[in-house]
Amino acid sequence: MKLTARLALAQVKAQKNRSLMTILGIGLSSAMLTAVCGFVASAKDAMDAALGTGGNYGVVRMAALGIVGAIFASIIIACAAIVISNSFRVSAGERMRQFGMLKSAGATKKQIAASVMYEGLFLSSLGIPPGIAAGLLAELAGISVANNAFHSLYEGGVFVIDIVFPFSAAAPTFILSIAVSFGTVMLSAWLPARRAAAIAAIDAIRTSDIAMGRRFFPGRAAGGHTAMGAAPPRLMERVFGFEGALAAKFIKRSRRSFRAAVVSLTISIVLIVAAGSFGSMMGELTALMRDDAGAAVSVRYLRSIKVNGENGETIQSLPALPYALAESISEKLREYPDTAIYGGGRVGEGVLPIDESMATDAYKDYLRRQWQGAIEWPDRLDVNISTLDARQYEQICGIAGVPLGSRIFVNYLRLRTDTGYAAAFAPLDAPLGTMALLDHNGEPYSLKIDAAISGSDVPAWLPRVAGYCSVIVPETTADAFTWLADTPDHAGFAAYAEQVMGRLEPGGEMYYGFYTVTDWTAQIAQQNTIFDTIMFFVGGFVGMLALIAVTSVISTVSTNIRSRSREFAVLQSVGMTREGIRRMLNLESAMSSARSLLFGLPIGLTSAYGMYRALDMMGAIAFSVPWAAIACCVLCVFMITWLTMRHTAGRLKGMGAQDG
Amino acid sequence: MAILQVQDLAKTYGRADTAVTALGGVSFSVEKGEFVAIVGASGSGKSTLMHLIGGVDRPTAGGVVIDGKPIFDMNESELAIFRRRNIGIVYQFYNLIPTLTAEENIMLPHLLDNRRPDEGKLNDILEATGLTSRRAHLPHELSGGQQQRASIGRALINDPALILADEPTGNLDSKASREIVDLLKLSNKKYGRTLLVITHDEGIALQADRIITIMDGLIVRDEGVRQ
Ligand SMILES: Nc1ncnc2c1ncn2[C@@H]1O[C@H](COP(=O)(O)OP(=O)(O)OP(=O)(O)O)[C@@H](O)[C@H]1O
Ligand SMILES: [Mg+2]
Repeated sequence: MKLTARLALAQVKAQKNRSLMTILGIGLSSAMLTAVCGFVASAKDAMDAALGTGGNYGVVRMAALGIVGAIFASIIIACAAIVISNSFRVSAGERMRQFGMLKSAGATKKQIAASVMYEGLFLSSLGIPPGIAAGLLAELAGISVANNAFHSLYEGGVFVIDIVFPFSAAAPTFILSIAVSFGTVMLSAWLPARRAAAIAAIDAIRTSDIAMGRRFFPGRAAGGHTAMGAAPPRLMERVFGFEGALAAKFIKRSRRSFRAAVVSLTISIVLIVAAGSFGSMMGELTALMRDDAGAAVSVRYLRSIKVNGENGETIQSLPALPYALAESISEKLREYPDTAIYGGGRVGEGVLPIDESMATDAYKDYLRRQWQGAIEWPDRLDVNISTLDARQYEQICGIAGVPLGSRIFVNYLRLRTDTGYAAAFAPLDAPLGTMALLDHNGEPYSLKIDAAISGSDVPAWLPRVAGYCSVIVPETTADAFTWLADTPDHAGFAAYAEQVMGRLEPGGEMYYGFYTVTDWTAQIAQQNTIFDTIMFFVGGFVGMLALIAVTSVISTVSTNIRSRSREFAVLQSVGMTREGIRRMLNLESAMSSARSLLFGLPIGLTSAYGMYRALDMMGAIAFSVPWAAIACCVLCVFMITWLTMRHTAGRLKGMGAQDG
Repeated sequence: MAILQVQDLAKTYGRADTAVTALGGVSFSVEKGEFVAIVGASGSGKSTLMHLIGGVDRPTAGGVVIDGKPIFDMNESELAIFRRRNIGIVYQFYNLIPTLTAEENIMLPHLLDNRRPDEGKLNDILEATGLTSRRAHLPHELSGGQQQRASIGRALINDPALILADEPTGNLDSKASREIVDLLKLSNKKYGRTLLVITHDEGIALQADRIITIMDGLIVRDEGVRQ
């Protein structure tokens, strides 16, 4: 073996822990790159199979997939390069005296650079093969998750074609992922190699210990100003004593060494916070849907129009649903075993002119919040005129304590605000007596109200079939009718409801929106499938990038502590206790952790909010701070830094970790 | 013909008001096979001079000609290869690469050339340096004197025109120092190597053919020694 290669190998062996972390980082990044390459290839094959390869579409598709793949790959490469390059930088710093020696014995620049590049070669050859294997496994897992999801969506009727992603480990993909992974490592080694080679022989010879690494790979901000998170030593001294001042000085001095760890941690924190927030938003959207449905299956009849199939002209409006027919549908639907049916129809709408004296405090409160103090008093309230099927009508009359045939006002409102749903409340004060309403044309008419129900008297299904602020009137022909079904066998019931409703359809003619049967359980299940699949990929991506950052933290912290054993010895010899040194190290790890959090959390929250604005187009959900993700980040960052510090310090001679 | 010619060699560190003139323009030449001691107070510029002669540093002014070649006319890699083949350098500390055995450290210039030295030559040097039984040991398994002998062995392996040693006995006791000096003298007498040794030790300086005294970056005395 060449001398330069042997020296590189010796360095790799001498720094086992750091080498291991670098190998892990290389492995993780090549696993991710392999998986991305595999997904792109597999998606292309799947699309070709489903859509054919004719014309220019194949090329366009490949370009589109290539761009998506390239975006992910560049994020991975950027993170990996920061972390891996730092490892080579540190290693080259440690070898500086060796390089000086080699130079004075006549080694050329090229030989010095080659020796650093050999380190890259050795670490790659150890890290890339298992990384590729892990990447293929990840691809396999990802593909089977995606295939399951797509297949169930196809079965649920969401997709018209059953897309199947084939497992792709074709030679070109394979070679590409090896080349990209290897290229990333070599790129990472190249800069430190070039810098090591460029150092004048005399400077490398004069080096004393790690001062050299510092001198030639110096912190950029060597000057006086204090970066965020690195509190000024004076302040640290006042708060934490002498150890605090030393810790702050060290952090300031070694900012460059910690930069890669801080940057990669920051990226991970940003991604974790954003992903956490994305997950909870998706969850909320799904929950919202479930909430809106409130039942397993809903069946809706809409008064519709008959359309001429040829020219699309309206021929005639179809009749509204006669009450007797609605009632018979309710009875039919109730025949399905173990099923409760809540039916209600919309008869019409009215506008209730209102003034402040009619509003409850809760309504005023709500408006005040909505308008942030300056109430713009609405002069009208939309009111639904609704009817219920006989059984439900009876129940409501019972709740209101009035005889059958009464008109009952549902004094119940729940409105959407910028921050989600406001709690339900009764908007009007004592809305009894005769209600003066305006019809569609603004013509006044009146409606006698016999009773009102509000608050917990309002059953959950009532607003869903009759709307908010509705006046329930006895049996009337309805424009639209809704049946909510509580049933254990949602799929069976949905099929049954199709049958019942299908019988209504006059043969042969085309109807617009005559009826719809929605199996909410299935819809929610599909929604959940999509949600889970997306989160699987988001989580996998973010998790693996975070692991790369963790390797960097471990290697940076342990290298730093090990390289300072002499400093610790000096501190101990001038009377600093072990406890004091440990305290100093604790402060150091806390401070450098705090730094990445200080950058990462705001950026993460900002991007989470940006995502919220993009996702929440319908204004349905509130932005919630992803506390769980933040807590997880804070905890993990402090734990990892502290544990590594503790572990490494514990292994230093004379720095035993026995607890005091 | 002079193997080494130093012409108006000057070195200034830093710039303007913080500038330190380590070497203020020195000239001398050394004949082939000569043993020259360089002495002077601490900070007088001895190491600076040696680094310039060895081509590991660049001068502010002046030139160095070794074996007829002006070394600073070469580019960096030419100079590195020239150094590998024509100059042997021994420093006071840390001459050896800790991950290579004594033998490999001695062979370093050859290994950098990607060739093996002939065994006879290597054995000769191991013999002369007294390291035959220690050839497979790593530097941290050798005593300070043995380490220093290994680095002299390395300086000898390529039959260099010139051997430069910067306080090679600086951190050794008197017995180990004597062994080092004997070894250097042997290389000078037996193999005819040209020797430039920086030393603080008058006893060593007096064994040389000639003593150059440096003060504040200038040669203040240059005279032969009567043996
Ligand atoms: N890199 C540098 N930057 C600035 N000044 C330097 C540098 N290297 C050496 N000097 C200065 O140049 C002068 C000569 O240094 P040099 O190392 O040549 O002295 P020396 O004669 O070898 O001393 P010693 O006997 O202590 O080894 C000293 O004043 C030193 O401070
Ligand atoms: Mg000196």
